[in-house]
Amino acid sequence: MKLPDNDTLVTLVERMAIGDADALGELWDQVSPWVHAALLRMLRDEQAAELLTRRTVVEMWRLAPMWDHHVGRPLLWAMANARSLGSQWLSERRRGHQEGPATAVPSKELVLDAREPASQIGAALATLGEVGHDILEAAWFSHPVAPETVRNPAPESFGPLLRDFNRALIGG
Amino acid sequence: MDRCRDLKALFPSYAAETASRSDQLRIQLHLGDGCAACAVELERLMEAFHAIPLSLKPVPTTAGSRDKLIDEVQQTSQEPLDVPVLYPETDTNRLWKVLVGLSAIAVIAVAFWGRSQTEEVTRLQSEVERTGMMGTVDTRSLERQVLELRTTLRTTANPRAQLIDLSGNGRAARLFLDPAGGVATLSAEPFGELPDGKLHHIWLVEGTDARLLGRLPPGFSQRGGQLRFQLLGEPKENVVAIITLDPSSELPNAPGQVVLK
Repeated sequence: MKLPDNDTLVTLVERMAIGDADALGELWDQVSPWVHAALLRMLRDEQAAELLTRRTVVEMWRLAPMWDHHVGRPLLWAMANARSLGSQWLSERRRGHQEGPATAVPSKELVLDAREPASQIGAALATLGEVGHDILEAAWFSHPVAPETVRNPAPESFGPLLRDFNRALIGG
Repeated sequence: MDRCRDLKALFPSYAAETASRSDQLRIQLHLGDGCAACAVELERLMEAFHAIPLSLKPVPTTAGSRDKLIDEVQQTSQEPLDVPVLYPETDTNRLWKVLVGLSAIAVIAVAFWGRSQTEEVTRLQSEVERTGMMGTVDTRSLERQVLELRTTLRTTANPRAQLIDLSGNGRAARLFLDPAGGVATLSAEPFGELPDGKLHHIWLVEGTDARLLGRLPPGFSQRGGQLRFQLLGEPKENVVAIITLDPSSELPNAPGQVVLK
C-alpha cells in the first residue's frame, strides 16, 4: 500500500482548519491505517491502539486551524501526535506496574511480520542493517530492545543512525 | 559556527525527544537566534524520526471506529487562532512604523526568551510530573510558538487591518479590526459597576449607519480585558466605534447612551 499523497493531505488539513467535517472523514481513511499500525506495534493492545488512533485524528482536528506547512507533512504530524499519546499510555501502564505485551521485548516474529521491507521507507531502514533498524524502531516505539540483537544502544550510535536514515530517505 | 557544530551532535536526541531539558533549552535558544541552517537540519531529522513507523504494513481499524471518531469530534472544539492586538499608526508612514515596532518586539522577545524559557521548563516539568510523561517531552510547543508569531506577522501586515481608539469618562479601549480573519478584538480597561438592568454594547458606525458588533458580558465591563467578536463584512476606512449603555432585556436596534467613542 502506497503512502498517502502529501498534497492531498495538506488540502484535507486546510479544509479541516475551516471546520469541514467531510475532510476529517477523508483524512481518517488515508491516515488511520498507518497510525493504527504504528500504535498496534507500539502498544500491542488492539483496543488501546484503536482508541489512540481516534484520539490522534481528533487532535489533528482540534489543532488544524493552527497547522502550517512549518509543522511538517500531515502524515508525519499524525505520527508525532500518535507517538506522544502512545508514550503517555505506556508511561501510565508502567507507572501502574501493569504487566502486558507492551512492557516486554517484542518477539522477532512480531517485529518482522509488521514490517513492509518493500516500501520506500522500509528499504531506507534496511540500508542500516538489522541492528540499526532495531535501534531506530526501539527509539520510536519506546519499547525494550531485543537483547539478542541490541543491548542498551548508546546515544552515540543512535545519532549517526538517524542521520544515515535521513540521507537514505532523501537519496531514495 | 562552533555553537552550531556543538549543538548539531544533540539534534538526533532532540528529534527523538530524549534530550535532557538543558540540551533542549540550548537548542531552542539557538533556534531562537534565527539559525536557519540548524532549523532545517533539525526539521529533517524530526521528519526522518517520525517516518520510522511508516515502514510498517498499514492496518485498518475496525468498521465502527470512523463513526466513533465523528461522535468524538462533535464534542471537540477547534483551537481558535489567537488574534494579536498591536497598535500600528494609521498615517502615511504606518508601514514603516509597524516594521520598526515589530523589530523592537523581536529584539525584546529575544532578550526575554531565556527567562521565559526557564519559566517554560518549570511549567513543562510540573506538567510532565502531573501527566506522567517523563521522558517524552512534547517539542510541538516551540513549533506552535513559531506558528503564533507567523500568524501575528501575517495579520498585522494586512494593510486592511484597522485600529480604533475609544475613550470617555476617563476610560480607554482599543478595537482591532481584522477583516481578513473576520475578527474584531476589543481591548478595554474596566468600565466600573453596571447600573441595574443595563449592559454595554459595542457598535461600528459608518456615516449614519450603526451596526451592532456585540454585547459585552458583565464580567468584561467590570474587569476589562480582551474580547473577540465575529466581524461580518469589511468595514469602511472611515468607520468609528462606540460603546453604549443599553437595557439588557433585549438586543438594542440603535445605540443608546454613548459611554466611549
